[in-house]
Amino acid sequence: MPAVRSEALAAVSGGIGSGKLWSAHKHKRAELLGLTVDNRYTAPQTIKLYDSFATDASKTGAAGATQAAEFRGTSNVQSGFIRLEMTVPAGETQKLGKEDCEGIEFLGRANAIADTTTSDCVIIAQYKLK
Amino acid sequence: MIELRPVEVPTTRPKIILPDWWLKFSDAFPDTLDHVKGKTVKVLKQQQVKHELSWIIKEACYKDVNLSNDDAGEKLYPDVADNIYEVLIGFKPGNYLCHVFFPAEYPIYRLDYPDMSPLISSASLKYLGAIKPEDSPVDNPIFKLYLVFKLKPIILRLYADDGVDYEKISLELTVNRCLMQEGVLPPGVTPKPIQYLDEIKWLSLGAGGA
Repeated sequence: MPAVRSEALAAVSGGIGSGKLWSAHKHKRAELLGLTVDNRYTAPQTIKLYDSFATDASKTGAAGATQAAEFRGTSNVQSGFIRLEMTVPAGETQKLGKEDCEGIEFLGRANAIADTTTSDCVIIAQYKLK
Repeated sequence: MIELRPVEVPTTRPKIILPDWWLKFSDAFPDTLDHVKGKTVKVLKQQQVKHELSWIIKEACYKDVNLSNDDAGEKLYPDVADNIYEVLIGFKPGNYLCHVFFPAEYPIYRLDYPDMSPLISSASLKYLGAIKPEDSPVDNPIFKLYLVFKLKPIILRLYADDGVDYEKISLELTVNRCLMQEGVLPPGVTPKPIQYLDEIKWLSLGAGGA
């Protein structure tokens, strides 16, 4: 069970600008097993965990209309898919255990973003690729 | 040929073709596959090759995966006439379905009534004949395909069911590459029958072929 530590930053316009928790695995999804958020900032911070991935082109409907590939967070993490969101009071640490995280899965890269760029939130996540 | 055992059949480890096994190809193979049609062969050598494939697609969308050696295919077919590939396909868990077509647009699994074919755009018929991930999980892949040189493309239609937003569809493949040689079946040996897919599709007796 790997554990990762990241500084959660607010997204920077035009860039990734976030704290990467772990990289995407081409053939595996990741299950979140635990999360610790240490908010060292002077104000409450809302942390969002984004799932960033690119879809493959596919088809849909009876006529097989083409569904173009989508880029969810490849170039701008803000377009990623939010899997978890939690608010942590100023100066506090909150933890989520396995039961809290059960069922939260990431298809691609996991990124953590806080409200404030300089929030200095420390995030520690446990995860399992499967 | 295709194999997918019902889930209620207890299984330990999937049986695969091994050296010294004998195979009997059906007479229903078309003349274009005369290198195997009606032949009895002995497996001389065997090698297992692992491979993985995966795609992320949006819910209620599907992707047709061509397993053949076509330009747009995954190139999982043998490229020589004296090989047979026994491909075990294991599905990682997810909310998706797999329909099998041979050739394209002709479903392997369907019922006799004209409309009773798998149909992705139908709320009920999309489940008809569909293979679910739990039917052939990666730790016990019981969905097998038997691929020979120049066989027409087999298409896997992978459909992300409603309600998942996005789904990662991951397949773990074990390609059991077998070198075979035509021979005379020794007395007392029962060969493993290799049927042509159309025989299974139409439930024919294999007399007339495709």
